[in-house]
Amino acid sequence: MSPQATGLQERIASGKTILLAEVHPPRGGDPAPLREAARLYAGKVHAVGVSDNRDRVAMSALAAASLLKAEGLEPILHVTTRDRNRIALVSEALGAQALGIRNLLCTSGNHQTLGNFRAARNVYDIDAVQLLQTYANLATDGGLLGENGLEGAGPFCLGAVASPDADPPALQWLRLDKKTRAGAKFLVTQPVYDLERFETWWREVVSRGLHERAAILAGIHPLSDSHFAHAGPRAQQAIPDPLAARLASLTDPGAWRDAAIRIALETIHRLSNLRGIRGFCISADGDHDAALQIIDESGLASD
Amino acid sequence: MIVADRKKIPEIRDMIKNHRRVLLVGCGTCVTVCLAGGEREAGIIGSALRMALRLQNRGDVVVDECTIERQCEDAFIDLLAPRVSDYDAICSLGCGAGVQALAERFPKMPLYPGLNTQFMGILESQGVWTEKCSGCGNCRLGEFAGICPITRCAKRLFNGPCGGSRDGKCEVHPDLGCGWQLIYDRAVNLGILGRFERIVPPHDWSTGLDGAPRKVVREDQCIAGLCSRT
Repeated sequence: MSPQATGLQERIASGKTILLAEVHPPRGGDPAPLREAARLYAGKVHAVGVSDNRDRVAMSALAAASLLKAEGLEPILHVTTRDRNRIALVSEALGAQALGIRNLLCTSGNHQTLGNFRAARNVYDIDAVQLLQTYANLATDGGLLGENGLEGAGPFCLGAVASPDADPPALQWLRLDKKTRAGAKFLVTQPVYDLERFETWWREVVSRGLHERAAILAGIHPLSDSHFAHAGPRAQQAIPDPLAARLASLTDPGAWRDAAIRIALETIHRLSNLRGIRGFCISADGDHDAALQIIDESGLASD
Repeated sequence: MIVADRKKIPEIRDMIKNHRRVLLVGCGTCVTVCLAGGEREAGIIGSALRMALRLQNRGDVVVDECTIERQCEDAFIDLLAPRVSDYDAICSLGCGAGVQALAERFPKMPLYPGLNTQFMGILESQGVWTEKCSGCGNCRLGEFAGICPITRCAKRLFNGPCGGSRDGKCEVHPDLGCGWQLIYDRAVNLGILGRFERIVPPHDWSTGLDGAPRKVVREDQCIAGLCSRT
């Protein structure tokens, strides 16, 4: 293990279960919500993903990650290719390193028209695979900027997103394989709702040996009623009918929330049986109490 | 071809209503084919504008129509020149290139666009046109089974589909086909799926608009010493 390994990297190397939470930076300039989140998750998870303007404008993910780190958490900075070109993306990584943040999750991000940014221009200069490769090689080829290697850049602990529900499967496999070849050491799946589909996907992961090349964590996202209501028909396709029916029958918001937490726990319980799965990433759209309840009751709390 | 769409009549009316005599100029090329700004549309838009102006008590504004074969070429614009001095504004029903060609040719004439120029595309079915080309200046269709990932993928991904592709559709719009599904379908037909195992390096955007507005110069077609118009 390199002396520069991040805490997450060490955890990946240990072979033990990895538990992540996700924090969305506040929609304002007040750091207090981050300090509160840091207090809540301290000692409960191995690292915390920090989303990058996911579907609304929020505080800079790098600033938020830095604040969380100062409070003792191990941040994973999400970096999307939607809003920045290769110049800004490399600069972001160098800034992150200077702030002691070297876990970077590279993703193309939600298309801006699906959030509150309909009129915004997107960038998409490079894609997530190219971003991984850029970050992996910053020290040697300057991250494809036409420069020589950048002094003292990296190494980073790189991650990416996996999409078990997406099509066409043959190309999704190629893309996932490229992500690991480009340098991803951990993969977090999109939220899992369709367990059978996920298990089918997992069999293919194992037969391709992808779980041996990167630590794969299942995304767990208790479906809040507002999220469910606002998910378009396309997003709802990922939610199997019996699950949707189970939730839709509940009119009381409290009962809905309880059921969503139960479903998340059932999902963790069932997926824990899969050979080679390395852990879970719990994200509850800012409902930290729900996330913490899932973490506590799942028995996965950080050791 | 270049595909355009008509602006709403009130928007055009409000652009021209403070002029006295307006010449509405159709174009006989792309926008005729896509039924947006040809001779027929110029007539319809002209009538609608006259009505809309009368309803706002601006019936005194004269709107006449004429259509030239190609607004993007001086040789055809020249045919318009004798008429232009009778007007104090032009509303072009050409694409953005046409509007600007007229603006360059008539430096003192106010110019207004009557169309929203959309894209380079094709007629998909009767009344439906779809975008196919972004004019990036560095065509890579040969690498991607004849389907352009820059134009047909909402995220311009070069290394495969994102997580928003499901049942052949893009999550950005329910009737938008996923560009990578289309690439996949053709790659399977052509037996070249293995080609997509390679990590495609970052694209060079400098040949496109990111490299600043472009110019194509064909030395072999230029008259000696007159290669550049500027």
